[in-house]
Amino acid sequence: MRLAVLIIAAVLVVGAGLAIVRSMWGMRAPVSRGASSSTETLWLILPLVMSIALVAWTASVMP
Amino acid sequence: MDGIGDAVSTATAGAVARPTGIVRDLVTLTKPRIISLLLVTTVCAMFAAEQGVPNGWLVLWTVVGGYLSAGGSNTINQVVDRDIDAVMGRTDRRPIVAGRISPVAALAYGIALVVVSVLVLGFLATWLAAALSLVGVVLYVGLYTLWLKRTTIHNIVIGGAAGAIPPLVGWAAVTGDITFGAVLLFAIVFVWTPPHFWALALMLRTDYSQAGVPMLPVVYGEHATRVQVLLWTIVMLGTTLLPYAAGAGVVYLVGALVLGLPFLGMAVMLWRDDRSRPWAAITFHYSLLYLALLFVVIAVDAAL
Repeated sequence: MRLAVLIIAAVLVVGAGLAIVRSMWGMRAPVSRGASSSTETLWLILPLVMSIALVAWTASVMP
Repeated sequence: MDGIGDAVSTATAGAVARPTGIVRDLVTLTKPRIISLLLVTTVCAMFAAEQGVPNGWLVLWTVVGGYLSAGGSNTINQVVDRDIDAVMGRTDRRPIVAGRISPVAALAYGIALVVVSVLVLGFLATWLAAALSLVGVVLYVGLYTLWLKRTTIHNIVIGGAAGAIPPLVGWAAVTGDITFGAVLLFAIVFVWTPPHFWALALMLRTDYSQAGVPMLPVVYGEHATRVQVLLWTIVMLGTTLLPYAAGAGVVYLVGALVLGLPFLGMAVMLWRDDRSRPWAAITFHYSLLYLALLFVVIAVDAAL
């Protein structure tokens, strides 16, 4: 049961996370002088990387 | 530096500021309504960390320290953002903008609240809780307010880390350390933040545009924002399933689904409806109730 829930969670988190990156990939142009396209890319990808890491961490501590 | 009392100016020429008005303004600066939700996540995280009912005095002092820390952050935020607040209808009557409290005095007040919060949490809870609360202040004031808010459409995504610190403070107050369970609670608040704030931004798009804040609906429009609200709600729903996979009880799983599926339904309606304002308001208000109830479920499941 817990494994099934983990798989569903992983599909939701990673799938939607990838969709977020894909849908916002064209929005990386800086919107102010304090921003750059590299920082915009970092802010876009960082949450996805953290989410994938969290799913992997959860899998490693499953009872 | 001006004293707090010196800085409280009269709202109308010749009038004398009443003590009750000063106190009200000092409380208003801390944004008590926002803090109440943060403290729900803090206290419920303490139940999860304890796997039962935590010590009442510890809860009390953690709540006091948490309020002072968040209140100090919110006060400093209003000092920095007073130019933005002045042109937004939602915020143009705040004490600093209205001239009832000077920016210098408010800054001193905010810093004092933060210092006291660190001492309260450090001496009466744990020093890790105190350090984490200080990290929250730095993230909110330094990362979000001073940097991200005015420079990127991802401001509330990355800046959401500040709002996700309170559960870590509660957890650290009980256990003195941060383990996987605490990280999960942090992650839940972190991924809840984008759909919550972008729903609000859809409602206040004109205000944010006038103030020059690059919120997503201002820069890329309402459709792009509605898509992101839906996608982040899916990420949030998936993230809230992880605690069950990691060992939480069936009570938690049922609660997470019963609360999360309506949130997803609202996000779908918001995404489908071009006249997004009503659904944005519904989604925003439900998101507040959702987070509070989800953390209550976390506490109940841990205490059973």
